Amino acid sequence: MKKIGKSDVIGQQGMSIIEGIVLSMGFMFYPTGGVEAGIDGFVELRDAETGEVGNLLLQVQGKATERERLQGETEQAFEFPCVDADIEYWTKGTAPVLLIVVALKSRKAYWKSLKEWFADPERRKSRKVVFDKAKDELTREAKAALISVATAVRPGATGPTVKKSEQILVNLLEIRFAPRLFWAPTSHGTDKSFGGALGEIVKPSRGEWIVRSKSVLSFHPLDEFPWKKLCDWEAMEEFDTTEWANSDDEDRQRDFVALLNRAIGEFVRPELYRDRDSGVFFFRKPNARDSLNYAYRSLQNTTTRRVVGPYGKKKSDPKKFAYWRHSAFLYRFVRLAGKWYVEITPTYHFTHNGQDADGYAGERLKKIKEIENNAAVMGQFVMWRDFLTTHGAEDLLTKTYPFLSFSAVDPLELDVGVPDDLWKSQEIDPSSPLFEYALAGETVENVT
Amino acid sequence: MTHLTEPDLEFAHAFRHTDIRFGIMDYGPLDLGMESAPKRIKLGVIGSAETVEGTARWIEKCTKGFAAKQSRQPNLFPPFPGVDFETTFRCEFVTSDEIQRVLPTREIARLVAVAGQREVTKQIVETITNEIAALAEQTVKPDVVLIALPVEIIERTYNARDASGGEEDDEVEAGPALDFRGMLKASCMRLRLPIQLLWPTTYDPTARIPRKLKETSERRTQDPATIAWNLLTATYYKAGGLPWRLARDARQLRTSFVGLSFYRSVDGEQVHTSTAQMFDERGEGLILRGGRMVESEEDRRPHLTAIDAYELLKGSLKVFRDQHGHWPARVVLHKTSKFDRNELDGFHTAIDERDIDYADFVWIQKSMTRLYRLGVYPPLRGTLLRFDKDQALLYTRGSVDFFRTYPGMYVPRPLQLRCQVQGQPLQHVAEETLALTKMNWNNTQFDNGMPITIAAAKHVGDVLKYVPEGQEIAARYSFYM
Repeated sequence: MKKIGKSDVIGQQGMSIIEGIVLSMGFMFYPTGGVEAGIDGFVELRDAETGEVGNLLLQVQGKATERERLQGETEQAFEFPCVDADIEYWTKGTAPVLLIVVALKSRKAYWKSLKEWFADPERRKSRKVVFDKAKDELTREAKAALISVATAVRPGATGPTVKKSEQILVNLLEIRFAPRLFWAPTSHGTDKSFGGALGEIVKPSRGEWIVRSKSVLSFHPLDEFPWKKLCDWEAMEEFDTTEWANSDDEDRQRDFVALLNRAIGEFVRPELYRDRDSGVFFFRKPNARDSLNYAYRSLQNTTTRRVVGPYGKKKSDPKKFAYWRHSAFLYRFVRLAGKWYVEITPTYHFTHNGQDADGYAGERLKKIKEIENNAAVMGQFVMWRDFLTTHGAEDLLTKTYPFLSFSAVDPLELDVGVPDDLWKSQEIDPSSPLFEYALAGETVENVT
Repeated sequence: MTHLTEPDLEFAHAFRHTDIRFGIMDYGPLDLGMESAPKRIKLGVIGSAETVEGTARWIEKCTKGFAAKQSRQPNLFPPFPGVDFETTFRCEFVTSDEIQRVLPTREIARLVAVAGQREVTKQIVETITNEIAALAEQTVKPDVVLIALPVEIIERTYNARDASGGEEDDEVEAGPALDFRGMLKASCMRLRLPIQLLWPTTYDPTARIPRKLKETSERRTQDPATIAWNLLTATYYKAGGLPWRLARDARQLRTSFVGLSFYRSVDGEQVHTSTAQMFDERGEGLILRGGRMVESEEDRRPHLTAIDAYELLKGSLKVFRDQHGHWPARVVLHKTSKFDRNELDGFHTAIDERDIDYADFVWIQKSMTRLYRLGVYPPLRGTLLRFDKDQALLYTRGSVDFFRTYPGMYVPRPLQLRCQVQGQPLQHVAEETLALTKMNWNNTQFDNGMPITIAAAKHVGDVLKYVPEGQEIAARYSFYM
């Protein structure tokens, strides 16, 4: 035999009494139904004359009882004890919560606005709601009081965080480096003097070496040409690169990073140049053309991005371009949780003729950084990630770069997110470029 | 990767709210009902005839309040409901002729005609300090003095910091430019009257400040309600009030938060340390000046010697004890550079001496390692990426769920947290750091980038560099912020 428990019936009786009183005020009552955390229904305020509703809501937590005597009952009053979790829930919400106790024997209901009641710290400490049987009775006459409770609501309520899982990219690429390092004494005391001597033997010379206190450290075996010419190759020693990479000694780590910095400079050739002042790598302007597009695999599809292009007009000669903007990146090798990564920060390099640094670069960079949003920079990062993970792969003409390679890091998952569209719709100026997702592809055309 | 929920703050009668402005509106300031809470704050005003009048009128307007900025972001731009015994601070803000001092037009003209940035700054600081001194000697003293700067003085004393790009001053001067704000605060510190600088844009949105000075776009876009919130909150604090504090679990250890920062003396020769301490029980910040730095061989950056580190922390702990009558159970040190061996030794000695069992030494820096969402808005404030048990990335600036926007320009940079000494789990250290970003009494929008430990220590340094050695320094943060 199926059953419906007695307590359910009691609860339902209480609700019908509450509903009856609320309707008598001209307001609406909607039972919550379904899954709820204690709120049994909503009162919607309504102008009884015109029927107008203004989305002013009160939440109702109902409690019906068949007891003859209520807790702590006297001629004038009775109590209702609460637990902390409930108090927290009631006082934090967006809408005011009414606690309505229905004494079924007398068919009387009593109400309290919980947020107001517990605003007093003493009451909160006692965790009791004390009802005044005369003042707190819920009758048609309580209508005005209910209105004042509902309209006292102000903005400032904290809503639940948006539960929306999303993927997040981190601007790191994992690196792999050559397993062996070579060390040998040299007569040269500085990078400069060693580099000068090297340049006289071979042109162009390779850069994967550093000089520290009269010795060379390099990814190249130093007993081969041209290195053997510049150092005491017979005293050469070979090391596991990890002896530097995993060392806790700060000097060793610095030397290792210096070597990686030299290696990445060789790695990105010949497409990218390094700016001496800022240290960024940037796409150079092709000789014969004004702009350069770079095709790559973005998050969804293959796209091209204009990575070098002319902008503005010269004041002195409006037919000429004022400056060139080159896509660039700042990089830094970092060791995190025992692994080496390169951190890529997309930026720009500015030249006044496609070659030489532009005098107003600082200002132009500041301006574009003001406009660029998360999506824009993310888009550029994805391009650089593609460049670094695919560049230097073996083909007919070149071998894979042997000393350094990069691989993407898996996207991270976060279980709270941002509802971009909803937020954007509430912005003061939603048409501002700041809220354009397309900024990410400001210069991107899809290649189909 | 996890997301830390926005920490709660505590307001009057132990009520909690995520947001500063709504917390004060709904419950009143933390000290409401306490004996020490200001009830009537007398605001002195110093400025030109015009700025004094404008400021006085603005104070008057604050009583009635300002409407919210027209927007669909009511949590970001709430109204300022006014000040009286029933709303916001439950306290009055008043001014009157007796506590106002007007600089004669001729005097202002004379001052701004002084040649050279250093000289003009010195003379203006001196003149204003004299005026504050005059107010300090009156029988009816103001609680806080508003310095209503006339545009002419702003133009001469605030450096445009090459905002105009390449347009350099052609005057050649001895030494670096003087920081007017720091110098003025240092100069009037001994008068024991906290001051608050005010630009004409505060009370007059149409006031024009030469464009190159307006580096922060905020000065341009702040609405009257936001301005009132920020200025009156800072003033309330400066007048001795405590607007809010961190909401903490009573079971948590009594913790002393100490922020350390280095500053260079005016002659550019010496680097000193300053500390600012935050006691969460009182929401109070206290200030110490530490020893001179040495350049460490480890990383060629300023560091303390072991002795100075020991003395500094010992002094900090003593300040805590003087306030609370007992030693803290836990010490949290925040610093923007790595703790070197000597510093670790010195700090440990001070902690061991007091039998303090829990210590966290956290190295906090802005990071270039960033996270990108696949969307327009940057990652949420509170996003935490742990690399290791002692190293993490924490977004303190970013999209804010409560505001339903990213209240900033530029793609934000997270903080890198590195616990060199760890007494608590990284998650706890990160939560605490996030909470401490909300303790800036100068800003009622809670999403500050740096925890107050570090922000305050830096502000303290900006002022202390102008206080001669040997001179007594004010202990309360009000004199530095």
